[in-house]
Amino acid sequence: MLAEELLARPRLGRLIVGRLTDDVLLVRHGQVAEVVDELRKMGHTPRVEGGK
Amino acid sequence: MTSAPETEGDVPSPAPEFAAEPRLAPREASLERYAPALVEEIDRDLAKWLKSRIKADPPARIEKLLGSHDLIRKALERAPDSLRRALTAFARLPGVELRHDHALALLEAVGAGSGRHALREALQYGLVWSSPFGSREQVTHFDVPDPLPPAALPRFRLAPGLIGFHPETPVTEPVAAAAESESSEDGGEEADGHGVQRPDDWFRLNPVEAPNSGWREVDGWEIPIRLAQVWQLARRVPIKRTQQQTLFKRDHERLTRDPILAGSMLDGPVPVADAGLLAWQLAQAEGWLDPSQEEQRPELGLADHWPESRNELLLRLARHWLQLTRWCELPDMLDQGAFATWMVSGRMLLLVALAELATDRAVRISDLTRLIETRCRPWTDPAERVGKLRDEAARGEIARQWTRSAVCGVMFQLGLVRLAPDADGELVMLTERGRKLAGLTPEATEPTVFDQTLLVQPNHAMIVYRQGLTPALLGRLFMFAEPKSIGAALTFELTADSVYLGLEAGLEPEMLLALLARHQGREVPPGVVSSIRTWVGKRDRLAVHSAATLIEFASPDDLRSAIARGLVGDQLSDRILLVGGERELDLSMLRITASRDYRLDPETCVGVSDDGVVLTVDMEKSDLLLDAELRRFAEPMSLSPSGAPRFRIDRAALARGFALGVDESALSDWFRQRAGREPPASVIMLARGLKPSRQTSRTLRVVTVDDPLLAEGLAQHPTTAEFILERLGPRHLAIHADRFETFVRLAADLGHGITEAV
Repeated sequence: MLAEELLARPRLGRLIVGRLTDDVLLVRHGQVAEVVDELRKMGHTPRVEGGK
Repeated sequence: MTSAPETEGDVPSPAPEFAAEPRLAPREASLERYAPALVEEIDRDLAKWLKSRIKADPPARIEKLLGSHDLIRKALERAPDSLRRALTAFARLPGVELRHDHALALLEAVGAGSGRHALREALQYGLVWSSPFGSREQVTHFDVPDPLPPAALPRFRLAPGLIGFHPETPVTEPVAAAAESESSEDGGEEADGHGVQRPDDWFRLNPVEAPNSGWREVDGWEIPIRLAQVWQLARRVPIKRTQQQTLFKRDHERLTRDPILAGSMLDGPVPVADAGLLAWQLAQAEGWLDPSQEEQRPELGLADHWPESRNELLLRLARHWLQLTRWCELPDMLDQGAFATWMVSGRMLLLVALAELATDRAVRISDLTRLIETRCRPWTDPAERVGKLRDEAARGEIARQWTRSAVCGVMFQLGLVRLAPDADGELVMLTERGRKLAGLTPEATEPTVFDQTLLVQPNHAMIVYRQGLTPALLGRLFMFAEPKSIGAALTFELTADSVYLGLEAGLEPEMLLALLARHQGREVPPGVVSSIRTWVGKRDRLAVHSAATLIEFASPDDLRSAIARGLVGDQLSDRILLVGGERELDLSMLRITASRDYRLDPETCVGVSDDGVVLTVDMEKSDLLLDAELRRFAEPMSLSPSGAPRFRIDRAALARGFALGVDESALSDWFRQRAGREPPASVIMLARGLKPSRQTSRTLRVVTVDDPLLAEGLAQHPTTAEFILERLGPRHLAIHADRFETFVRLAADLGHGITEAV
C-alpha cells in the first residue's frame, strides 16, 4: 500500500524509475535527496542509508 | 646556518583573506616535515648556541637539547631581548599553530622588533617549528615568499620539548633602550617608517592584588551549547554559502536570529556579538563543518568529534577563537580593512599579558585596553587606520569596546578568565583553565559532574541541569532533542522530528533510551518510551539506499546458497538480493552472466506485434525493472514459441495502470524507451477508451467528382459551400442527407449535374 501511495504522488512518481517488487522502488540517479525531501513533506521519516 | 639573509623591515600587512583560497591539506609544523639538510643545520646551530658537546644523531640530539631547559635559559641570557620576548610569546601559546602573519604581528606587539629576526632565530635554533609553506610538502628553508594566500602561509609552533619552559621575560614591560639597540645591531631591526608607536612609549601593566572573593566565573557551557545548536541546524538543513564563501541571506538569518544562538547568556557581563556566527566559525575550525563545501552538513554526531573532558573542549575552542579572522568581537569592524586579522595578535597579546601576572595578581581591563592601544597595529600604525579608526575620538572607544568584548565576552564565557568588580572598573585574572591555555599549568581541574542530571516529563519535555553536562552528553542531547530554552537549566522537547534527526545521525534507539534512563536515574515515562518506539517504527517503514547493487539469481536456491556462503543483503524477492552501499562487492562466489548499470537509460528490449497489443521481451537486453513496468499495464501471456516472455495489453490491464498513475504521456515515453517506437494506435485507442468518450453517427450523402479542382470549387462557391459538411478526400464531399436534393439542383444550375451511382 505504501508503494502505491508513493507512486500515486505525481512529484515523487517523476523521480522513480520503476518498481522492482511490491515494496521496492528504484529512484533516478542523483535524485535521492529530492526523493527524501518529498517523502518528508509527505510526513514520512525514511531511514536514509549511505547519506543523501 | 647557511640560509639566505633576510631583509628586516616592517611587519607585513596580514595576508588578505581570499574569498576562495586553494584547499590545502593540513600540514603540521613538525621537524619530520623538514628536509634532512635543514635538520642537520638546526642541530649544529642549536648545539653551538647551547655550547653542548652531546653526541647523537641530529633529530635525537635536537630533542635532547630542547629538553635541557637550564642550558636554554643560560643561552637566552646571552641572546637578544627580541628572541627572549619571541620565545616567551610562543611559550604562552602551546598547542597553537600561529600563521606567519599572525606570528609576526604578535612578536611585534610583545616588543620583539618587527618579529622577523626573532622568529628567524627561533626557527634556526629549532625552538619554534614551521610547517611547509607555498606548494611544498617539505620545509627546506625559512624564507617566506611574499605574498602567499593565507592557506599557503607557514604556521609556527613552540617545539614540543619546550612546552612547560618559561623564559619569564616580562613582555608587557617596555623594551629597554639598550635592548632595542642591541636588537637593532644584531638583526638590523629598523625603525618604522610609518609613525608606528615606539616601544619606549608603550604602556606597562599595573597589576593589583587579587581580592579573595567577589569573582565571577562561568561553567563554560554557553559557547559549546551554541555549537551544538549549529550542529542541529546544519543537520536539519545544510548551511549554504555562495561561491564567494559568504552565507546566503537565509542561512545568515538562521545563524543570527535563531533564539538559542542569539539568546542571552546565563552570566554575560558583555554580550558575545553574533554568537551564532562565532559558533559557525568555530565549527568550521573544528572541522565538522567543512569550510571548503558550499553546502555544509555535519556527517557525524558531536560526541564523535568532541573530547570527553570539558576543559579539553573549551581549550580547543579557545585556540580556534584566538585565530579567527572572519568573526570579530566588534561585528562593525569585520570589514574595516585588515582589522579582524590584526586582532588575532590582539587576542594573543591579551593571553600573553594575563599569563604574566602572578597567581595572586589581577589587572584592570582598562589596563589591557591601554596595552592594546599601544601595541596593536590598528592603533599604532596610521597606515592601518581605516574607517572608524581614522577618527581619533572613536579610536580609543573602539579599543575599549574590543578589549571588553574579548575579555568579558569570549574569554569569560570559555572560562579562561574570572572577573571581579573594582572601583575603577573590572579586575580580571586567568582561571586555572586560562593558565592551562597559556601553558602555565600542566593540568586544569576537571569540574565534578553529576550523572543524574535530567528529567524527562510525560509531556515529552526534558529539563537538563547544567551541573551534570559533559561534552558527550551535550552533543548527544542536541542529536535527538529540540532545545527550547537555555538558562540555569536547559529545556528540550522530544518530538518525532528531533528523534528522527538523532536516528539519522546514527543514534540507535536503545542507546537513546538507555541514555535518558541513565541520566534521569529512574525509568523514563512509559508514554515517552512508547512515542519514541512509535517514531522509530515509522522510520523503519521506509528505507532509502543512496547506492545499491541488485543481484538477480537464476533461482531461489541460488540466492539461498549465496547467502549461506556469506553474501549479506536485503532479500527483495525469492530471486533478488539488494546489497546497500557503494563498496566494491566480492562476487567471486557467483557466476555473473550479465550486469546492468541502472544509472544508464533503459534499453530497447520489447517487440510489438502487428496488432499492437502483444509485447514480446528480448531476454538478452531486458532488465529487472521491465517485468514490474509491464505488469503495471499489461497481462503476462504464455511464452512465445522461442521461449520469450510475452504480455498482452487489454482494456482491464490498461485501466489498472491508469489507476496507478500511468497516463497516455507515460505510455508514450515507455514505448519510446522500451520498444523504440510510438505506442500502437490500437493501444492509444484502448487508452482513450478508458475516459468517458462519446462518438456520433449520422446519415450523409457522398458526392464523388472526377476532378479535385471541381470538388474544391463546389466547396468554395457561395451557392454550394453551405451544403458541404466535410471534404472527405480530394474528390469526395460529404453533404447533409436532408439537404441533398437542394444541393443537386443548385449544382445543376452551376452546370454540374449529379446523378446517383448505382
